[in-house]
Amino acid sequence: MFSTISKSIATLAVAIGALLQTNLSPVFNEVQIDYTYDKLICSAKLKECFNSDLDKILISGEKIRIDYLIQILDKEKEVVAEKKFFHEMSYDLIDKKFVLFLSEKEKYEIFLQLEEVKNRFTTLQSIIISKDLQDIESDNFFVILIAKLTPIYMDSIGKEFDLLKYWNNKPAKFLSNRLELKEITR
Amino acid sequence: MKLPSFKVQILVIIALLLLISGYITHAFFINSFRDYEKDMNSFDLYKKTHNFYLDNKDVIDKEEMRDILQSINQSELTTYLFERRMTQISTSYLIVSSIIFFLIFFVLLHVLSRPLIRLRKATKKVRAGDLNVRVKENRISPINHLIVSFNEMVKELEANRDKLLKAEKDMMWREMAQVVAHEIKNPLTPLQLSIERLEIKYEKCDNENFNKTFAESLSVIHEEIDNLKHLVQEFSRFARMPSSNYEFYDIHSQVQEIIKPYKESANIYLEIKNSLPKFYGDKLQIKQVFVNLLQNAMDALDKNGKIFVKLNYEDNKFMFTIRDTGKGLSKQEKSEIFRPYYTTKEKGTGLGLAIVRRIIKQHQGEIKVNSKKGAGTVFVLTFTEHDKKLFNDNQD
Repeated sequence: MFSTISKSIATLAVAIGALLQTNLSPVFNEVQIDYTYDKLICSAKLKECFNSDLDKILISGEKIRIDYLIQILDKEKEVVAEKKFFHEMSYDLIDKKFVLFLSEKEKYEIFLQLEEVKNRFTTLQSIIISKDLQDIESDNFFVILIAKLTPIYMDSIGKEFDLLKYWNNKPAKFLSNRLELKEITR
Repeated sequence: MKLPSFKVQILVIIALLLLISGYITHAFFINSFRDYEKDMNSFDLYKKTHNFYLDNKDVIDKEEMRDILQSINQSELTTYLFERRMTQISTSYLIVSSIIFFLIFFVLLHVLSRPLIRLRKATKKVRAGDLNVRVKENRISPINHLIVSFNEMVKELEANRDKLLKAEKDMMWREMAQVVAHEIKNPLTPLQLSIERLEIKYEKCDNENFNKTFAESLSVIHEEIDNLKHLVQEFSRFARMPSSNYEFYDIHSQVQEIIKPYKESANIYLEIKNSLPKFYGDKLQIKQVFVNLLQNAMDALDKNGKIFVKLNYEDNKFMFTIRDTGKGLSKQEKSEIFRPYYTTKEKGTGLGLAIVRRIIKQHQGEIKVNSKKGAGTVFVLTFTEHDKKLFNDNQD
């Protein structure tokens, strides 16, 4: 009797814990923005974006994709330039390796460890946006970074599975402070 | 205790069902799906298929095998995600049903306890003498019948108190009429005799005797008129109690001032036990109480007699004691001393102690007397520190 009750309580506690940790709130960290020779170069790292459910999905063999968007806004917050790209990874179930496609570089990278591929999957490494920012009035502008998990289609259930629900149904977003060109020019 | 109303019972049953179904659903989904997932994993389909491919990779098409492994993994993933989803739903359901259950539980607790709190407050008011109080009836409360009984009881008490007061008043008036008639009749006889003597002496025209008799008669007439005047004054004081003026004040200084003049003609000892907080009462009326009791004690003393006045404050109670070593009271006297117009003194009106008792009652206090013939008398006055608001309400 006692063991049944304690088992039930333990199960309930685990379930409540799982319920609470279901939703993640990913954020962009280590954001670095530089400007050189009419090019804006942006680096960043997406953090707090995986839980045990997503890990399980990553090794399922499905193609998992994050769409990235970088925008430059003027002081009126009008978009003056933007760059769209994506990272797509999948697990090779036969060769037991992770294949990651980086669309901004148009190249594949191979990883053997899950943690390694997760790290690269969520890293923006020197992303270049070609734009002459000298035209922008008063040299003030903002940079926005957006990352969004795309749904996967599962044959077994015959429908799409929206991965974004693990991120509270919200894309990860970063809005820089007001930037001055001379501050970031190298 | 009566059961709550039908609606309340239904509400409690629904809340309980919610909670139980939440618990069962939760336990069922989680355990069933855990078992199912374990069973599925025990097949180890992916590993076996992968090993089979490695052993026969020369004859098996790699892309075909990839599709098969993909399907196996998808089915395991679907099971896992479904189990997770069901766990979330059943846990949420359990949490929501628990919240609803506890909400209903606390609302009911409130519904049950509120009339009890009202009843307790009303009982306090009744204890303080307020018989106009009534508790609001609440039909869904299981103690409503108790509230109804309480209201009926207080109503009956109020009616009985009014009847008692009326009867007491009637009796007092009758007693008073008798006493007044008797007291007025007493001086009338000497007055009549004096006038008759004057008439006789006047008729005989015996100047020498007439002057002497005239002087004596005048003295008697004056004295009896004074007696009648005093009687009428005391009667008026008793009949018309002035309105009370309650305040906090230092009773210690007041008693010191009161006993000062008596100290010249008697041995009076004042003792204070514990520090006294401010006393809440009518200063003039309390002075009258001490004066009457001290005067009675003085009247009862012989030559070397002593009076002990003790003031004490303990357990939210003021306790004042006036003890004398005088002649004391018999059992009969002790039972009658507070009755209006009862006196053991030659020239007393019998109203002093009646007034004292009345003032003390008005202050929500108590007076007790202990006495033994030949061993002295002690009066103990007790005042409990009541809720001041109730106290004042009661005065109104």
